[in-house]
Amino acid sequence: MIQAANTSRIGSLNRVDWCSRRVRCLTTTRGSYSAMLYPYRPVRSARERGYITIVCSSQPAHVHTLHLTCQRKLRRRHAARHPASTPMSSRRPSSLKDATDVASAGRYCDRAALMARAQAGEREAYRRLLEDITPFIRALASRRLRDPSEVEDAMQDVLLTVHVIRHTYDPSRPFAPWLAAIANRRIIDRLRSRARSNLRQTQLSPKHETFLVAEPKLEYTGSDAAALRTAIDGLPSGQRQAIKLLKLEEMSLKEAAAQSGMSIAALKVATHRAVSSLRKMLGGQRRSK
Amino acid sequence: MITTPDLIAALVEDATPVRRLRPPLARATAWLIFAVLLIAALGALHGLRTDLAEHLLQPVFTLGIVASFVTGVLAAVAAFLVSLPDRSRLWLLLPAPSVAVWMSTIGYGCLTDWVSLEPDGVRVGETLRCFVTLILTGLPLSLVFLVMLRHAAPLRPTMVAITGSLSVAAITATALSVFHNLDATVMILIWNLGTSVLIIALACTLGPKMFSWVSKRLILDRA
Repeated sequence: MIQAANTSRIGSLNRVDWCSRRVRCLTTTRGSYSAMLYPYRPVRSARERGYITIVCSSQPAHVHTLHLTCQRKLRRRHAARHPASTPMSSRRPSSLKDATDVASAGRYCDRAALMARAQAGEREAYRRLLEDITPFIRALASRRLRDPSEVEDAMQDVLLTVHVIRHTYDPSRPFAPWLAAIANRRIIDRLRSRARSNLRQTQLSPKHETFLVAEPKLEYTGSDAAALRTAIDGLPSGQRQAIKLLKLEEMSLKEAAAQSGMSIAALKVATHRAVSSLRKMLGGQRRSK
Repeated sequence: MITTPDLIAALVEDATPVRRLRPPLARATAWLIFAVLLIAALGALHGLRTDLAEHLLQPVFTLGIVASFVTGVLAAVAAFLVSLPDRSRLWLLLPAPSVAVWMSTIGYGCLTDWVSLEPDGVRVGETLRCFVTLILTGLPLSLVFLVMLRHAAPLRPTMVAITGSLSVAAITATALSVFHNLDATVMILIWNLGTSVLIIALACTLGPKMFSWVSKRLILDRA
Protein backbone atom coordinates (compact mmCIF):
# COMPACT_ATOMS: atom_id res chain seq x y z
CA MET A 1 0.00 0.00 0.00
CA ILE A 2 1.51 3.29 -1.06
CA GLN A 3 0.90 6.38 0.98
CA ALA A 4 2.19 9.44 -0.74
CA ALA A 5 1.14 12.97 -1.32
CA ASN A 6 2.92 13.28 -4.61
CA THR A 7 1.57 10.27 -6.42
CA SER A 8 -0.21 12.60 -8.79
CA ARG A 9 3.14 13.76 -10.16
CA ILE A 10 4.26 10.21 -10.75
CA GLY A 11 0.95 8.91 -11.90
CA SER A 12 -0.80 5.78 -10.80
CA LEU A 13 1.15 2.59 -10.59
CA ASN A 14 0.69 0.08 -13.37
CA ARG A 15 3.38 -2.48 -12.80
CA VAL A 16 6.28 -3.36 -10.52
CA ASP A 17 9.30 -5.28 -11.74
CA TRP A 18 11.27 -6.83 -8.93
CA CYS A 19 14.72 -6.07 -10.21
CA SER A 20 16.51 -7.05 -7.07
CA ARG A 21 16.07 -7.00 -3.36
CA ARG A 22 16.80 -3.29 -3.32
CA VAL A 23 15.67 -1.88 -6.61
CA ARG A 24 12.25 -1.99 -8.23
CA CYS A 25 11.28 -0.84 -11.66
CA LEU A 26 7.92 0.83 -11.60
CA THR A 27 5.78 1.60 -14.59
CA THR A 28 3.19 4.27 -13.99
CA THR A 29 0.77 6.14 -16.15
CA ARG A 30 3.40 8.87 -16.53
CA GLY A 31 6.43 6.81 -17.43
CA SER A 32 8.89 4.34 -16.02
CA TYR A 33 10.78 4.82 -12.78
CA SER A 34 13.46 3.01 -10.93
CA ALA A 35 12.69 2.75 -7.25
CA MET A 36 15.19 2.07 -4.55
CA LEU A 37 14.11 0.55 -1.32
CA TYR A 38 15.42 2.57 1.54
CA PRO A 39 16.91 1.51 3.85
CA TYR A 40 18.73 -1.07 1.77
CA ARG A 41 17.07 -4.16 3.05
CA PRO A 42 13.97 -6.05 2.19
CA VAL A 43 10.93 -5.45 4.34
CA ARG A 44 10.25 -8.84 5.80
CA SER A 45 7.33 -8.43 8.12
CA ALA A 46 4.08 -6.53 7.93
CA ARG A 47 5.06 -4.49 10.95
CA GLU A 48 8.17 -3.08 9.31
CA ARG A 49 7.93 0.24 7.64
CA GLY A 50 10.13 1.81 5.01
CA TYR A 51 9.99 4.06 2.07
CA ILE A 52 11.18 3.83 -1.47
CA THR A 53 12.89 6.51 -3.43
CA ILE A 54 11.58 6.88 -6.93
CA VAL A 55 13.86 8.24 -9.60
CA CYS A 56 12.40 9.00 -12.97
CA SER A 57 14.50 7.25 -15.59
CA SER A 58 14.13 9.97 -18.18
CA GLN A 59 14.40 12.90 -15.75
CA PRO A 60 16.84 12.02 -12.95
CA ALA A 61 16.26 15.32 -11.24
CA HIS A 62 12.72 14.24 -10.42
CA VAL A 63 13.17 12.29 -7.23
CA HIS A 64 10.10 11.27 -5.31
CA THR A 65 9.87 9.51 -2.05
CA LEU A 66 7.00 7.18 -1.44
CA HIS A 67 6.26 5.66 1.89
CA LEU A 68 5.28 2.10 1.83
CA THR A 69 3.88 0.25 4.72
CA CYS A 70 4.54 -3.27 3.71
CA GLN A 71 6.40 -4.76 0.83
CA ARG A 72 4.29 -7.88 0.90
CA LYS A 73 1.08 -5.90 0.69
CA LEU A 74 2.47 -4.01 -2.27
CA ARG A 75 3.48 -7.21 -3.98
CA ARG A 76 0.16 -8.86 -3.22
CA ARG A 77 -1.81 -5.89 -4.49
CA HIS A 78 0.07 -5.78 -7.77
CA ALA A 79 -0.07 -9.52 -8.14
CA ALA A 80 -3.83 -9.23 -7.85
CA ARG A 81 -4.04 -6.36 -10.33
CA HIS A 82 -1.56 -7.73 -12.83
CA PRO A 83 -1.46 -11.50 -12.47
CA ALA A 84 0.46 -11.94 -15.71
CA SER A 85 3.31 -9.55 -15.06
CA THR A 86 4.29 -10.07 -11.46
CA PRO A 87 5.25 -13.73 -11.33
CA MET A 88 7.43 -13.44 -14.40
CA SER A 89 9.12 -10.21 -13.33
CA SER A 90 9.75 -11.37 -9.79
CA ARG A 91 11.49 -14.50 -10.95
CA ARG A 92 15.24 -14.32 -10.69
CA PRO A 93 16.98 -15.91 -13.65
CA SER A 94 19.08 -18.86 -12.67
CA SER A 95 21.51 -18.76 -15.54
CA LEU A 96 22.77 -16.67 -18.38
CA LYS A 97 20.39 -18.44 -20.74
CA ASP A 98 17.49 -17.43 -18.55
CA ALA A 99 18.75 -13.90 -18.35
CA THR A 100 18.84 -13.68 -22.11
CA ASP A 101 15.57 -15.47 -22.71
CA VAL A 102 13.49 -13.62 -20.19
CA ALA A 103 14.18 -10.26 -21.74
CA SER A 104 10.66 -9.14 -21.14
CA ALA A 105 10.90 -9.66 -17.42
CA GLY A 106 11.78 -6.09 -16.64
CA ARG A 107 14.80 -3.90 -16.62
CA TYR A 108 16.78 -6.18 -14.34
CA CYS A 109 16.85 -8.90 -16.94
CA ASP A 110 17.48 -6.38 -19.67
CA ARG A 111 20.51 -5.00 -17.93
CA ALA A 112 21.82 -8.42 -16.95
CA ALA A 113 21.47 -9.60 -20.51
CA LEU A 114 23.04 -6.42 -21.85
CA MET A 115 25.98 -6.82 -19.52
CA ALA A 116 26.39 -10.45 -20.49
CA ARG A 117 26.51 -9.40 -24.12
CA ALA A 118 28.89 -6.56 -23.29
CA GLN A 119 31.21 -9.02 -21.59
CA ALA A 120 31.21 -10.96 -24.83
CA GLY A 121 32.36 -7.82 -26.65
CA GLU A 122 29.08 -6.55 -28.15
CA ARG A 123 29.59 -2.82 -28.31
CA GLU A 124 26.03 -1.81 -29.09
CA ALA A 125 24.76 -3.71 -26.06
CA TYR A 126 27.43 -2.08 -23.95
CA ARG A 127 26.48 1.38 -25.20
CA ARG A 128 22.82 0.75 -24.41
CA LEU A 129 23.71 -0.50 -20.96
CA LEU A 130 25.94 2.47 -20.11
CA GLU A 131 23.36 4.95 -21.36
CA ASP A 132 20.68 3.12 -19.42
CA ILE A 133 22.52 3.11 -16.10
CA THR A 134 23.73 6.71 -16.31
CA PRO A 135 20.55 8.29 -14.85
CA PHE A 136 20.55 5.79 -12.02
CA ILE A 137 24.17 6.58 -11.14
CA ARG A 138 23.52 10.30 -11.45
CA ALA A 139 20.60 10.01 -9.06
CA LEU A 140 22.72 8.09 -6.57
CA ALA A 141 25.49 10.67 -6.78
CA SER A 142 23.06 13.59 -6.50
CA ARG A 143 21.85 12.29 -3.18
CA ARG A 144 25.31 12.67 -1.64
CA LEU A 145 27.03 15.37 -3.67
CA ARG A 146 25.73 18.88 -4.18
CA ASP A 147 28.04 20.36 -6.77
CA PRO A 148 26.76 19.36 -10.24
CA SER A 149 30.31 19.14 -11.62
CA GLU A 150 31.25 16.83 -8.78
CA VAL A 151 28.17 14.70 -9.49
CA GLU A 152 29.31 14.45 -13.08
CA ASP A 153 32.85 13.53 -12.01
CA ALA A 154 31.54 10.87 -9.63
CA MET A 155 29.33 9.46 -12.36
CA GLN A 156 32.23 9.21 -14.77
CA ASP A 157 34.33 7.61 -12.07
CA VAL A 158 31.63 4.97 -11.56
CA LEU A 159 31.37 4.35 -15.30
CA LEU A 160 35.13 3.88 -15.51
CA THR A 161 35.10 1.46 -12.58
CA VAL A 162 32.25 -0.49 -14.13
CA HIS A 163 34.29 -0.71 -17.31
CA VAL A 164 37.45 -1.88 -15.56
CA ILE A 165 35.80 -4.56 -13.43
CA ARG A 166 32.98 -5.58 -15.74
CA HIS A 167 34.41 -9.08 -15.79
CA THR A 168 33.43 -9.50 -12.12
CA TYR A 169 29.72 -9.43 -12.93
CA ASP A 170 28.01 -12.80 -12.89
CA PRO A 171 24.92 -12.70 -15.16
CA SER A 172 23.16 -15.27 -13.02
CA ARG A 173 23.00 -12.70 -10.24
CA PRO A 174 21.02 -9.42 -10.10
CA PHE A 175 22.64 -6.53 -11.89
CA ALA A 176 21.37 -3.63 -9.77
CA PRO A 177 23.10 -4.60 -6.48
CA TRP A 178 26.36 -5.07 -8.37
CA LEU A 179 26.07 -1.62 -9.90
CA ALA A 180 24.78 0.05 -6.73
CA ALA A 181 27.67 -1.39 -4.69
CA ILE A 182 30.23 -0.03 -7.16
CA ALA A 183 28.52 3.35 -7.35
CA ASN A 184 28.15 3.73 -3.60
CA ARG A 185 31.74 2.69 -3.04
CA ARG A 186 33.12 5.19 -5.52
CA ILE A 187 30.90 8.00 -4.25
CA ILE A 188 31.90 7.31 -0.65
CA ASP A 189 35.57 7.21 -1.66
CA ARG A 190 35.10 10.59 -3.33
CA LEU A 191 33.45 12.03 -0.22
CA ARG A 192 36.26 10.72 1.96
CA SER A 193 38.96 12.07 -0.28
CA ARG A 194 37.21 15.45 -0.36
CA ALA A 195 36.97 15.45 3.43
CA ARG A 196 40.68 14.62 3.68
CA SER A 197 41.64 17.39 1.28
CA ASN A 198 39.40 19.84 3.14
CA LEU A 199 41.22 18.99 6.35
CA ARG A 200 44.54 19.81 4.72
CA GLN A 201 43.34 23.13 3.34
CA THR A 202 43.07 26.44 5.21
CA GLN A 203 40.69 29.14 4.09
CA LEU A 204 42.58 32.37 3.35
CA SER A 205 41.26 35.61 4.72
CA PRO A 206 42.24 39.09 3.38
CA LYS A 207 44.70 39.34 6.28
CA HIS A 208 46.70 36.44 4.83
CA GLU A 209 47.20 38.21 1.51
CA THR A 210 50.65 39.56 0.75
CA PHE A 211 51.43 41.69 -2.26
CA LEU A 212 54.62 42.16 -4.18
CA VAL A 213 53.37 45.33 -5.81
CA ALA A 214 51.27 48.20 -4.64
CA GLU A 215 48.40 47.86 -7.14
CA PRO A 216 46.01 46.22 -4.69
CA LYS A 217 46.35 49.25 -2.46
CA LEU A 218 45.05 51.60 -5.12
CA GLU A 219 41.89 52.17 -3.16
CA TYR A 220 43.96 53.89 -0.50
CA THR A 221 45.75 55.90 -3.18
CA GLY A 222 42.39 56.96 -4.52
CA SER A 223 41.20 58.17 -1.16
CA ASP A 224 44.49 60.07 -0.66
CA ALA A 225 44.05 61.78 -4.02
CA ALA A 226 40.55 62.87 -3.11
CA ALA A 227 41.79 64.26 0.18
CA LEU A 228 44.60 66.08 -1.60
CA ARG A 229 42.21 67.62 -4.08
CA THR A 230 39.96 68.82 -1.28
CA ALA A 231 42.96 70.27 0.56
CA ILE A 232 44.16 72.10 -2.56
CA ASP A 233 40.70 73.58 -3.04
CA GLY A 234 40.91 74.91 0.50
CA LEU A 235 44.14 76.84 -0.16
CA PRO A 236 44.20 80.62 -0.75
CA SER A 237 43.81 81.47 -4.43
CA GLY A 238 47.50 82.41 -5.02
CA GLN A 239 48.82 79.25 -3.47
CA ARG A 240 46.17 77.13 -5.19
CA GLN A 241 47.08 78.57 -8.57
CA ALA A 242 50.83 78.05 -7.96
CA ILE A 243 50.32 74.41 -6.98
CA LYS A 244 48.04 73.71 -9.92
CA LEU A 245 50.37 75.21 -12.48
CA LEU A 246 53.69 73.97 -11.14
CA LYS A 247 52.81 70.60 -9.56
CA LEU A 248 49.63 69.36 -11.20
CA GLU A 249 50.14 70.70 -14.71
CA GLU A 250 53.93 70.40 -14.33
CA MET A 251 54.69 73.75 -16.01
CA SER A 252 58.08 75.44 -15.75
CA LEU A 253 58.44 78.55 -13.61
CA LYS A 254 58.58 80.76 -16.72
CA GLU A 255 55.44 79.28 -18.23
CA ALA A 256 53.59 79.52 -14.93
CA ALA A 257 54.73 83.12 -14.45
CA ALA A 258 53.60 83.98 -17.99
CA GLN A 259 50.20 82.36 -17.49
CA SER A 260 49.45 83.60 -13.99
CA GLY A 261 51.06 87.03 -14.23
CA MET A 262 52.95 86.42 -10.99
CA SER A 263 56.69 86.84 -10.70
CA ILE A 264 58.90 83.77 -10.45
CA ALA A 265 59.86 84.61 -6.86
CA ALA A 266 56.20 85.02 -5.87
CA LEU A 267 55.40 81.67 -7.46
CA LYS A 268 58.20 80.00 -5.54
CA VAL A 269 57.02 81.51 -2.25
CA ALA A 270 53.39 80.62 -2.95
CA THR A 271 54.34 77.03 -3.83
CA HIS A 272 56.44 76.66 -0.71
CA ARG A 273 53.64 77.96 1.48
CA ALA A 274 51.08 75.82 -0.28
CA VAL A 275 53.12 72.65 0.23
CA SER A 276 53.60 73.51 3.90
CA SER A 277 49.88 74.15 4.30
CA LEU A 278 48.99 70.92 2.51
CA ARG A 279 51.44 68.97 4.65
CA LYS A 280 49.85 70.35 7.77
CA MET A 281 46.32 69.72 6.54
CA LEU A 282 46.95 66.17 5.30
CA GLY A 283 49.20 65.29 8.23
CA GLY A 284 46.49 66.44 10.59
CA GLN A 285 43.93 64.36 8.77
CA ARG A 286 46.11 61.21 8.97
CA ARG A 287 46.74 61.73 12.66
CA SER A 288 43.05 62.25 13.25
CA LYS A 289 42.40 58.92 11.40
CA MET B 1 36.98 17.67 -18.89
CA ILE B 2 35.53 14.91 -21.04
CA THR B 3 31.75 14.83 -21.25
CA THR B 4 29.82 11.76 -20.21
CA PRO B 5 28.60 10.91 -23.75
CA ASP B 6 32.23 11.14 -24.94
CA LEU B 7 33.34 8.93 -22.07
CA ILE B 8 30.66 6.36 -22.91
CA ALA B 9 31.77 6.44 -26.53
CA ALA B 10 35.39 5.88 -25.47
CA LEU B 11 34.45 3.03 -23.15
CA VAL B 12 32.33 1.41 -25.84
CA GLU B 13 35.23 1.71 -28.26
CA ASP B 14 37.41 -0.07 -25.71
CA ALA B 15 34.85 -2.81 -25.03
CA THR B 16 36.84 -5.90 -25.86
CA PRO B 17 35.55 -9.32 -24.79
CA VAL B 18 36.45 -10.13 -21.22
CA ARG B 19 36.72 -13.45 -19.47
CA ARG B 20 34.32 -13.66 -16.57
CA LEU B 21 35.74 -14.40 -13.17
CA ARG B 22 35.23 -17.93 -12.01
CA PRO B 23 32.95 -18.38 -8.98
CA PRO B 24 34.61 -17.19 -5.78
CA LEU B 25 34.54 -20.64 -4.21
CA ALA B 26 36.39 -22.11 -7.16
CA ARG B 27 39.02 -19.38 -6.99
CA ALA B 28 39.40 -19.78 -3.25
CA THR B 29 39.87 -23.51 -3.79
CA ALA B 30 42.56 -22.83 -6.37
CA TRP B 31 44.40 -20.54 -3.96
CA LEU B 32 44.10 -23.08 -1.14
CA ILE B 33 45.45 -25.83 -3.38
CA PHE B 34 48.42 -23.59 -4.11
CA ALA B 35 48.87 -22.99 -0.37
CA VAL B 36 48.74 -26.69 0.42
CA LEU B 37 51.21 -27.48 -2.35
CA LEU B 38 53.53 -24.75 -1.07
CA ILE B 39 53.38 -26.09 2.47
CA ALA B 40 53.93 -29.63 1.18
CA ALA B 41 56.98 -28.47 -0.78
CA LEU B 42 58.36 -26.71 2.27
CA GLY B 43 57.67 -29.81 4.35
CA ALA B 44 59.54 -31.95 1.84
CA LEU B 45 62.51 -29.58 1.93
CA HIS B 46 62.54 -28.77 5.60
CA GLY B 47 61.02 -31.84 7.15
CA LEU B 48 58.36 -31.98 9.83
CA ARG B 49 59.15 -31.18 13.42
CA THR B 50 60.68 -34.08 15.26
CA ASP B 51 58.04 -34.25 17.99
CA LEU B 52 55.00 -33.80 15.74
CA ALA B 53 53.53 -37.25 16.40
CA GLU B 54 53.91 -36.75 20.10
CA HIS B 55 52.26 -33.33 19.98
CA LEU B 56 49.41 -34.47 17.80
CA LEU B 57 48.27 -36.59 20.70
CA GLN B 58 47.68 -33.41 22.70
CA PRO B 59 44.13 -32.16 22.05
CA VAL B 60 45.04 -28.47 22.46
CA PHE B 61 47.87 -28.67 19.93
CA THR B 62 45.74 -30.56 17.41
CA LEU B 63 42.81 -28.22 17.94
CA GLY B 64 45.11 -25.21 17.46
CA ILE B 65 46.49 -26.52 14.17
CA VAL B 66 43.06 -27.46 12.88
CA ALA B 67 41.62 -24.11 13.97
CA SER B 68 44.40 -22.12 12.31
CA PHE B 69 44.05 -24.11 9.09
CA VAL B 70 40.27 -23.74 9.10
CA THR B 71 40.75 -20.01 9.74
CA GLY B 72 43.00 -19.88 6.68
CA VAL B 73 40.42 -21.68 4.56
CA LEU B 74 37.43 -19.65 5.74
CA ALA B 75 39.27 -16.34 5.56
CA ALA B 76 40.33 -17.13 1.99
CA VAL B 77 36.73 -17.93 1.04
CA ALA B 78 35.55 -14.73 2.74
CA ALA B 79 38.20 -12.65 0.96
CA PHE B 80 37.21 -14.00 -2.46
CA LEU B 81 33.53 -13.44 -1.73
CA VAL B 82 33.92 -9.93 -0.33
CA SER B 83 36.15 -8.89 -3.20
CA LEU B 84 33.06 -8.99 -5.45
CA PRO B 85 30.88 -5.87 -5.43
CA ASP B 86 27.53 -7.54 -4.96
CA ARG B 87 28.38 -9.81 -2.04
CA SER B 88 27.45 -8.94 1.50
CA ARG B 89 30.08 -7.67 3.87
CA LEU B 90 28.73 -10.09 6.45
CA TRP B 91 30.90 -12.72 4.80
CA LEU B 92 33.76 -11.06 6.66
CA LEU B 93 32.45 -12.75 9.79
CA LEU B 94 32.84 -16.21 8.27
CA PRO B 95 36.25 -16.94 9.84
CA ALA B 96 35.33 -15.38 13.19
CA PRO B 97 34.43 -18.62 15.06
CA SER B 98 37.57 -20.44 13.97
CA VAL B 99 39.68 -17.36 14.80
CA ALA B 100 38.19 -17.44 18.29
CA VAL B 101 39.05 -21.13 18.69
CA TRP B 102 42.55 -20.59 17.30
CA MET B 103 43.26 -17.67 19.61
CA SER B 104 41.87 -19.52 22.59
CA THR B 105 44.20 -22.47 21.95
CA ILE B 106 47.15 -20.08 21.74
CA GLY B 107 46.08 -18.58 25.03
CA TYR B 108 45.63 -21.99 26.61
CA GLY B 109 49.01 -23.10 25.32
CA CYS B 110 50.59 -20.03 26.80
CA LEU B 111 48.99 -20.72 30.13
CA THR B 112 50.18 -24.30 30.28
CA ASP B 113 53.60 -23.70 28.74
CA TRP B 114 54.25 -20.79 31.02
CA VAL B 115 54.79 -23.25 33.83
CA SER B 116 57.00 -25.63 31.89
CA LEU B 117 59.10 -22.97 30.16
CA GLU B 118 62.74 -23.97 30.13
CA PRO B 119 65.66 -21.63 29.51
CA ASP B 120 66.97 -23.73 26.62
CA GLY B 121 63.53 -24.55 25.22
CA VAL B 122 64.21 -22.90 21.89
CA ARG B 123 67.51 -22.97 20.14
CA VAL B 124 68.83 -19.77 18.55
CA GLY B 125 69.09 -21.35 15.13
CA GLU B 126 65.41 -22.27 15.20
CA THR B 127 64.39 -18.63 15.17
CA LEU B 128 66.14 -18.01 11.89
CA ARG B 129 64.64 -21.12 10.32
CA CYS B 130 61.22 -20.04 11.56
CA PHE B 131 61.72 -16.69 9.89
CA VAL B 132 62.73 -18.32 6.62
CA THR B 133 59.62 -20.51 6.74
CA LEU B 134 57.53 -17.46 7.48
CA ILE B 135 58.88 -15.62 4.46
CA LEU B 136 58.72 -18.63 2.14
CA THR B 137 55.11 -19.31 3.08
CA GLY B 138 53.71 -15.84 3.57
CA LEU B 139 55.26 -14.00 0.65
CA PRO B 140 54.16 -16.26 -2.24
CA LEU B 141 50.69 -16.66 -0.79
CA SER B 142 50.34 -12.89 -0.39
CA LEU B 143 51.57 -12.22 -3.92
CA VAL B 144 49.15 -14.73 -5.44
CA PHE B 145 46.37 -13.19 -3.37
CA LEU B 146 47.24 -9.73 -4.67
CA VAL B 147 47.06 -10.87 -8.27
CA MET B 148 43.90 -12.94 -7.84
CA LEU B 149 42.04 -10.20 -5.98
CA ARG B 150 43.30 -7.18 -7.91
CA HIS B 151 39.78 -6.31 -9.05
CA ALA B 152 38.98 -5.39 -5.43
CA ALA B 153 41.23 -2.32 -5.72
CA PRO B 154 38.47 0.20 -6.43
CA LEU B 155 35.94 -1.38 -4.08
CA ARG B 156 36.93 -2.72 -0.68
CA PRO B 157 40.72 -2.93 -0.70
CA THR B 158 41.26 -2.65 3.04
CA MET B 159 38.70 -5.24 4.04
CA VAL B 160 39.83 -7.68 1.38
CA ALA B 161 43.47 -7.12 2.32
CA ILE B 162 42.78 -7.75 5.99
CA THR B 163 40.78 -10.89 5.36
CA GLY B 164 43.29 -12.19 2.87
CA SER B 165 46.18 -11.51 5.20
CA LEU B 166 44.33 -13.26 7.99
CA SER B 167 44.15 -16.28 5.74
CA VAL B 168 47.86 -16.01 4.89
CA ALA B 169 48.73 -15.56 8.56
CA ALA B 170 46.66 -18.54 9.64
CA ILE B 171 48.14 -20.83 7.02
CA THR B 172 51.65 -19.57 7.83
CA ALA B 173 51.00 -20.25 11.51
CA THR B 174 49.85 -23.76 10.62
CA ALA B 175 53.05 -24.34 8.68
CA LEU B 176 55.15 -22.98 11.52
CA SER B 177 53.40 -25.20 14.04
CA VAL B 178 53.97 -28.29 11.89
CA PHE B 179 57.57 -27.58 10.95
CA HIS B 180 59.16 -26.02 14.02
CA ASN B 181 59.58 -26.90 17.65
CA LEU B 182 57.83 -23.93 19.20
CA ASP B 183 56.84 -24.78 22.70
CA ALA B 184 57.97 -21.78 24.65
CA THR B 185 55.29 -19.30 25.51
CA VAL B 186 57.03 -16.25 24.13
CA MET B 187 57.84 -17.93 20.85
CA ILE B 188 54.29 -19.14 20.42
CA LEU B 189 53.04 -15.64 20.98
CA ILE B 190 55.59 -14.13 18.63
CA TRP B 191 55.24 -16.60 15.80
CA ASN B 192 51.53 -17.25 15.95
CA LEU B 193 49.95 -14.09 17.22
CA GLY B 194 52.78 -11.71 16.45
CA THR B 195 53.20 -12.71 12.83
CA SER B 196 49.46 -12.65 12.30
CA VAL B 197 49.19 -9.16 13.72
CA LEU B 198 52.23 -8.07 11.73
CA ILE B 199 50.88 -9.41 8.45
CA ILE B 200 47.45 -7.91 9.07
CA ALA B 201 48.97 -4.56 10.06
CA LEU B 202 51.04 -4.57 6.87
CA ALA B 203 47.89 -5.38 4.93
CA CYS B 204 46.07 -2.47 6.56
CA THR B 205 48.74 0.03 5.67
CA LEU B 206 50.07 -1.27 2.38
CA GLY B 207 47.14 -3.43 1.18
CA PRO B 208 45.11 -0.78 -0.64
CA LYS B 209 48.21 0.72 -2.26
CA MET B 210 49.50 -2.70 -3.32
CA PHE B 211 46.11 -3.67 -4.73
CA SER B 212 45.93 -0.46 -6.65
CA TRP B 213 49.49 -0.85 -7.96
CA VAL B 214 49.03 -4.47 -9.05
CA SER B 215 45.66 -3.64 -10.57
CA LYS B 216 47.03 -0.71 -12.57
CA ARG B 217 50.03 -2.70 -13.81
CA LEU B 218 47.92 -5.60 -14.98
CA ILE B 219 45.28 -3.39 -16.56
CA LEU B 220 47.95 -1.39 -18.40
CA ASP B 221 49.62 -4.59 -19.54
CA ARG B 222 46.30 -5.88 -20.81
CA ALA B 223 45.63 -2.64 -22.64
